[in-house]
Amino acid sequence: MTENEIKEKLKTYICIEIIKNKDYPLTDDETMMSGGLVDSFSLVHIAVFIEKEIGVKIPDTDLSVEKMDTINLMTERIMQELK
Amino acid sequence: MNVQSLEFFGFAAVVLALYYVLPMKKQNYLLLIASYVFYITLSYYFAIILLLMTLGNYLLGRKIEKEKPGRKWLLVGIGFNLMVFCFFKSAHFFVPEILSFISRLGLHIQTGSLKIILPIGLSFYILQALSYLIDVYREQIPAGNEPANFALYLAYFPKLTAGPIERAQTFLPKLSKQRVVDNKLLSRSFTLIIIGLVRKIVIADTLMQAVPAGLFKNPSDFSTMELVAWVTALLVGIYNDFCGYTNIVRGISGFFGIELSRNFNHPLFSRNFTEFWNRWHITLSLWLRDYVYFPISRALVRRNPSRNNPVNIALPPIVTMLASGIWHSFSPGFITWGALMGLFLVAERSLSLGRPLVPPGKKPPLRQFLGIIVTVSLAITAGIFAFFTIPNALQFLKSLFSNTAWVLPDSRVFLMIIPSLVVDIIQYRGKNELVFLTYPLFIRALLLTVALTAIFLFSQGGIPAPFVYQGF
Amino acid sequence: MKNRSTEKERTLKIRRPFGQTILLAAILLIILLVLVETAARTDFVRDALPAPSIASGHKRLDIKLPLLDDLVREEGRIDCIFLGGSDVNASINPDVFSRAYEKKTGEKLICFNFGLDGFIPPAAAVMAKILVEKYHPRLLVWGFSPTSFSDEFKRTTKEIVSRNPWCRYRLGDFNLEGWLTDYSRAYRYFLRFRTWLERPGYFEKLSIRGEKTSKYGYHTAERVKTFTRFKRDEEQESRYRNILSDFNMDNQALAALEKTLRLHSQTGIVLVDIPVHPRYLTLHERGADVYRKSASYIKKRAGQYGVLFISTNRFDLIPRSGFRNISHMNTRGARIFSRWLGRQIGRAVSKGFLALPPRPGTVVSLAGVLK
Repeated sequence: MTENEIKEKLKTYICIEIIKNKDYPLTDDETMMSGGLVDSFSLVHIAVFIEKEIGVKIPDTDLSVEKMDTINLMTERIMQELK
Repeated sequence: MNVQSLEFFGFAAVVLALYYVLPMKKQNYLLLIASYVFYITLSYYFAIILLLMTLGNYLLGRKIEKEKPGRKWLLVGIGFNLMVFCFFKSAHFFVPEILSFISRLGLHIQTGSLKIILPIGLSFYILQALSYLIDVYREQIPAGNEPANFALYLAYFPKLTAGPIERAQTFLPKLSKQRVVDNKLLSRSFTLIIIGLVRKIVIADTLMQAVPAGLFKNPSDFSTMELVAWVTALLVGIYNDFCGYTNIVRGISGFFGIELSRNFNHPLFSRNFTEFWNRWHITLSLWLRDYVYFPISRALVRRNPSRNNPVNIALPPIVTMLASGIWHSFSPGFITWGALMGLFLVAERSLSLGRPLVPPGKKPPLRQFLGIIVTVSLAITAGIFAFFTIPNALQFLKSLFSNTAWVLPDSRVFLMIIPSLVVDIIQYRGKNELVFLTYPLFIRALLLTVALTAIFLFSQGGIPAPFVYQGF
Repeated sequence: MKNRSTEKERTLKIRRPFGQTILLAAILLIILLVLVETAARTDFVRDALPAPSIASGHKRLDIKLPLLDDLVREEGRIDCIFLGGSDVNASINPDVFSRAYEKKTGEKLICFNFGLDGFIPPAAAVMAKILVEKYHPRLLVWGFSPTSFSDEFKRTTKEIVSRNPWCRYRLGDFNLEGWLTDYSRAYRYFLRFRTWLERPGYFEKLSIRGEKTSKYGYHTAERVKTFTRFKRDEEQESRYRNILSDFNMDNQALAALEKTLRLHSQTGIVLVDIPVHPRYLTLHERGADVYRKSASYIKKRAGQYGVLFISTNRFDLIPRSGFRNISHMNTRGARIFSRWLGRQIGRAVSKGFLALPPRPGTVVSLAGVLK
């Protein structure tokens, strides 16, 4: 899976399932956790989604603002595991 | 030695002077010795327990790493730490209760040997030991660290007595790197200490002293408005006390080139509970999130990924907040507090189900303001159970709705809450707790002058209890 | 090479400029302190703010001390201070005393009533030393009741004096707070503010009780100012009955007496027993005996130091209508007693039984010294 595919997958999932607004203009560097879009509850869903759809397990302690705040950061963290 | 006392600053200054002339590796030994010296000034007994806990956890870490996967040893480690924690906490809470029960039965027993004191800081370093073992098990950190560094991770004196709760993952690497204390770090640390002292000595101590003792004993003697005012004062007081303390120790640690985590991020401006727990005692919240909430929640979501599943929504926050309550104290009041906080989180989540999500910062200002009022009011309501005994908390809530006579609250409450709000608003608007450092030199110096004067004035001895006229 | 490695290993890396903010803050601090202190001493601030305080925890002390300061400031001196407990507070009207004294001697004394509730001998002695050394009065009149020297009294007032930073400083135990309280009016304003912050009812309670104090320290409370009839207070009477039944002179109180008598080298000292209602000494069969014994002991000690002791209770000085209870006079009693005391002390001075030190700044003629 390429980086762009991962980004698209994440964006679609987050817009439809988390934000509940498929037209939400989510950009790659929008701060979702510090901006209040994604909280711990949603983050777990995203983590399980990544596990199931991409096959990468991100450890609990990495589910943090530093590593998961934007689509770019999430993708970067996933790519680290894929390499 | 209180962290705001002159003795503590003197002690830190002596350690600092030695620290600056030593090479890196010896610096860690110095900090370790200093930390134990500091702890021994509180109690020999505390230091011995810390030493034993350090040894136990270090060996367990090695064992977990060696026997991959060291699940068995991880469970032993978790069990060991939880047992020690429960032993001291329950002794702290239950022994006096049991003794008073026995004496109520008319029996008199020798209580000398039963006095088990909860070592100061134990609740904090046990969490740090637990996260260490779990992270070693998850292979996120190696267990083959320098033993002295691990010992320092648990004992580091600025954070020993009341946090912030650091993680081995971020703290240990700082110990094996050359520390640099430059102009920037010095001014940041100095500013943190000054803000901390203002919060602790000028705001918190004055507020806490003003709260009438009768409030805790007979809340029904107060009117609704007085109750609201005093309990708000109590919350602002506790916030400034803890936030001030954390600022002071972060500042002191900064002088050693070791930056500690932030613990408060303007919790009184939270627009919902999720935000509140990201802003209040942050290092504890994050610990509970990473080691209690995420594992439970992840396991549940894996089984049933539906976002509307009631178990997924309710169980993790309630268990997490109950754990938080128990961590604070085994008292029924704190457990009720935890349960209420958990319920608030569940209610908040349930209310937003199926609706398009709008981040709190993008809601209309009035909604945001109302959000703050509701969140803070409910946080205070839960807090009543933590501050008071359960019967008094219930009496408090009853009086809140029945003593509606028009008695204005004490004007001092507002006078003392305002400085706290001003500091918070400035930091919040500047999106930087050290926003003061960006001000022009003259303003900075002026603020420092005012702060130092206030700290000096309010650190002088209090006013003695008034002389009661004895009629002669 | 070696230099570079030590540079690299050094933790502390300070570059200039450094510490500008702290330096400027230090300069600003000095300017600020001077400005605030200057402002605190202006008449404008004096009139606008409530009186400053030494935060003693004793309301009447906190009220009377700034009044005394104001009087000294207004008159340039204080000649006579009346010291003692609530009995002195209630029974001496300095204004009446001063007029009576002036009539006898032709000299006007500026007098202040420093009677403070509960100021039993050990506390009064410490306060006497502080007052004499700070204000240099020419005359110190220490008043007490026959039973003031009883060992039954609690020592709370002594603790007030011995704990207060300002009192400690005045007694030679240097401490920063006491020093600041003594020198800085602004700091005393802050103490008043802080007292209010910590105990909001502290000052207000006085006004609730309707108590007002004249500029000469006379306690012109509603209860005392308007004529108050004698009213029996069973509780008070039973307390005094107990004291009389088991009367012992307290060692600390006697030591306090000696200490005060020793001040006679610095100022004129007069001891006076404050008249009590005749009922007082009949509360218990030992009453008259207790009074006689303690009065004769004090007289003996005073005599050894050459200090004047004015004993009053053998005279029927104050009519029964001059009391509001067995140990406190009302305004009528105070007027009669103050006039009598003014005449007595005036006579003692004019007849040479009592020598007052010269007024500060007075040129003493050689003839005067020789006489």
